[in-house]
Amino acid sequence: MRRRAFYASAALLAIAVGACCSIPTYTPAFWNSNIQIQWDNNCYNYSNNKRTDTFAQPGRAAGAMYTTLECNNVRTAAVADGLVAVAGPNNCPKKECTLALVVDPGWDYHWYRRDQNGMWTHKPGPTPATNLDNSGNPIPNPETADRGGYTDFCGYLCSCSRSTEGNGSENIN
Amino acid sequence: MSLAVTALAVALALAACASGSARAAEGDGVQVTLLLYSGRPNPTFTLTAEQAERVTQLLAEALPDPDFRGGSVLPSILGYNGLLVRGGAQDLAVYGGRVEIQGREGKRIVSDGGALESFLLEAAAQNKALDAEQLRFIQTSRDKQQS
Repeated sequence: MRRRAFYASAALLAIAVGACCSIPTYTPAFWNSNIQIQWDNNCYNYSNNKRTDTFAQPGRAAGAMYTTLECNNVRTAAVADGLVAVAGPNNCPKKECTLALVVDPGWDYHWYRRDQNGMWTHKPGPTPATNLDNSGNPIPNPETADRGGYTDFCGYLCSCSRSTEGNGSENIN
Repeated sequence: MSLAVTALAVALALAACASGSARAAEGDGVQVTLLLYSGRPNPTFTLTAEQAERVTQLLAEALPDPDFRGGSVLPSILGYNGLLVRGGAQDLAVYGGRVEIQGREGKRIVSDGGALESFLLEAAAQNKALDAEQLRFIQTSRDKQQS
């Protein structure tokens, strides 16, 4: 009887630990040193720190994919996946990762993530993950970074990430 | 009974042959992806057998590039990032006059002056894989890159 209780407690503890979110460090080697990982995972995978090898799309896992390439539509799709929209860059719960969404209206969307050191990093499509913007500068603030044609800044969302790279907790696909 | 089984086996074999011929006519399923987008899926198309053969020729003419420094020829910028070629003997990443070849022996970089990139972009236009806006976007990006 005691043994059963012990195992039940251990299982509950494992579930609780597994459900914990944490903020990742900038670890580009995970995303860049294997071509399947690099080529088949995009900015949405990287920012959520979740490898799916499917070029994940906001809302697809929830059956509510975006229908237009503008801020509100893409943000709503990401919220359907479980991300939480917040008013500013410092509004996410302490252990959750802050993401920033930007849009090149009618053309495409893009995501950044804030790592443990407070700097922002991203992965433009199938290219390597990087901590630099389009001008080659580090990114302390995605609102002022050189984002090429992605001129619409759509705001911030919280994601349950992990310190283990590629293993984020959000349900994206 | 055995006649029916034989007939079924022949039919399956013929179907397999027909399928194989179709694949060969499409360059054995060599797929090209044009890298325009960070988030949404990028346009792709399948090379014809002749186009796949030309890719092989252009690769054979490319020169080793031992001076290349960096992890990938694909630039980590928002905008046009080159092309991926998958499904042939080797997987390729192509951008800015360089080709990253991913084979059984690992990765190597060759330099071709942009010949393969230009050829693949022409093939994309021929195969109607891009609309006018996408073509213009790539052309503008390449013009900036060369200036």
